[in-house]
Amino acid sequence: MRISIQLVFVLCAFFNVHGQSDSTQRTKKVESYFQLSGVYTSFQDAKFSNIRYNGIGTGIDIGRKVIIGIHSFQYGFQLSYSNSKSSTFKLDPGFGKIGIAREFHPTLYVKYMRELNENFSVGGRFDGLESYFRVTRGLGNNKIYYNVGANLYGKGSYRRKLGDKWEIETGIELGLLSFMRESTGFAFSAPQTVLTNGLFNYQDESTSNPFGFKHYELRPIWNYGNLNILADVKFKQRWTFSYTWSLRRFSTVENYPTTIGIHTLGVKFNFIDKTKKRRSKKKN
Amino acid sequence: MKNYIILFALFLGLISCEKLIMKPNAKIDNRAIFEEYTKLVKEKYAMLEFKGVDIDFLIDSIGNVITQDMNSDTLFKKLAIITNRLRDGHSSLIGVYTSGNFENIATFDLNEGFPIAFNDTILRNNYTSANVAPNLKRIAIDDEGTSIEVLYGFLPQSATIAYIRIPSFNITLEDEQLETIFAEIKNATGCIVDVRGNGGGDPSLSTKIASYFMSETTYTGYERFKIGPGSSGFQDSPSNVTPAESDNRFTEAVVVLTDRGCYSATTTLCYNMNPLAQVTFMGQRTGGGSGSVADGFLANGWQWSLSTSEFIDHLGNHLDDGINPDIQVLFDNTDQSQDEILDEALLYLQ
Repeated sequence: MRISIQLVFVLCAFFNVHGQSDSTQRTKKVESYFQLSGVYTSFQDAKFSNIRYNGIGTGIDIGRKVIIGIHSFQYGFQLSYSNSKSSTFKLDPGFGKIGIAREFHPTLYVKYMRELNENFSVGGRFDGLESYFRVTRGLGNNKIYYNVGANLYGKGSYRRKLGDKWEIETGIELGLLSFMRESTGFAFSAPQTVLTNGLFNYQDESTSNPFGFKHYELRPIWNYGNLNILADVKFKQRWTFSYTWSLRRFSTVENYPTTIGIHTLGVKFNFIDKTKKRRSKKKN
Repeated sequence: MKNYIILFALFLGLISCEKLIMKPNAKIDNRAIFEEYTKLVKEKYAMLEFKGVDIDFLIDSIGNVITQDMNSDTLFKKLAIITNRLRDGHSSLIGVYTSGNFENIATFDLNEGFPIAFNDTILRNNYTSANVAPNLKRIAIDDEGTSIEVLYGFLPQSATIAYIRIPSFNITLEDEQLETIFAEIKNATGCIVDVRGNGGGDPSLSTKIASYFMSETTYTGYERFKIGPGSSGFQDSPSNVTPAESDNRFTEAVVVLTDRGCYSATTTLCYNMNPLAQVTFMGQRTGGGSGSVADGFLANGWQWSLSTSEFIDHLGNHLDDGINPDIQVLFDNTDQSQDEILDEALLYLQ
């Protein structure tokens, strides 16, 4: 966790230093936004089954974006909820909806972007609390699945104006480093590292608590596939039609990967929009 | 326009992108279901060796008779041979739910061949009901819709020997409630812990209760977890239980009453208390269930559960088939006036 936080600070400091020397007149723009979405999810945990689960649900995204000159800072909170069903079987819904899983996906995020030119920007994203929870009706010890952590992404985006009213923006966020834990090991509902290190203990609540940081793992990009692809269509600065595909794929046990895909299609409204122009001193 | 069509096609492609990197979806034909279940048992079940199960032989012999035109009932019976062969109350296979009922269930009957050693009606009428035992305190707790009572205090049969009855560990007992229980019995000369018929629940709770009887950190054995698919894919987690951080720990003589209904998290209580010199087990052999359980669905919706670990106690004993008491006491279920095991415990502690 500490390393991830340090990396974010280093990233911000780096961009801050670069940002201080290149603008004499800055425009500050503040947008607060609220998004309502529909979500489509896919889930497969090959440790326990190759069954693919698909879910449909809703989501929100609340946040704020501050654009100062060529820099933009953004922070917000996303939450999605969906009901997920097996793609291979359908059970009697009268019997307590056994087999149906409720999925929750809350995320606290901050983003920083720097314009390279009129069209391209680069930057990063940090998810301070990014979680995926599944609660499957009818199961016992494996009823709750979660994958919780903090993620650091590198981000690139392309923006293009289509006339006076329309603008499109696409982006990619590639996970570089994750500090995470998964609830299930190869054969039991405890993190695999807890089991392989012989640390399972009924008196140690951190083995079952999702926020027991003691058993978190630091995973670089080659051990934890984490990717977001974004596509926005903006209309008159007030409205944004947004699509995001979030993919996560990783293996805590070799050859038994977990794959989670979340597609979000939403409408975003920017309900505050302040624009100020100010002159700043050039720093060398 | 052409560009927009390409963009739209890309968008549709993304919708199914994660499917491209997922493992192929599970199949639901008879052969696939048989292979899925036997793979689970072979890779995840932690006690094939201890139970003497030759899983490869079972796969070969049963696999030969699995056909694609076999009806689901027959297929279930074939898979149930493997489930039953494990002789494990934690391992089961449940067929499709229809109209609010299970169609098929395969699991191990723990009580088969063992004598009855507990009758709740006899206990209530002669020892623990409110009008018989006014000095016995009660905590009513909901256990999945059923109200159960944790009892603690003193029976009418003895003012100095404390009695604690915990009928289930599938409950939540707050730390304050545990403190209240042990503060109440703190000055007793001995204590009976009655866990007969307790089929288990939360092993953390049973470990916490066991820690109230300890004065020092105690090695109680180790849990051997399945951590990989191969026959050598095991790792041991040693169990060193630390005493409860409380002024109300009880370190006088204790008798734990057991029967075949003591299972799962109750076995956890037993193996955690077994190394303590002041603890005696009395009654009948327990049910066992020492392992931790994983569960899930087969591709056709059948629900499976398997023991994916095994606990081996501080003396190296395998516990999954149960623990014999230090003092075996027979129970006469026809005599409605007394509980022979409880009476024997009271006598022993006096």
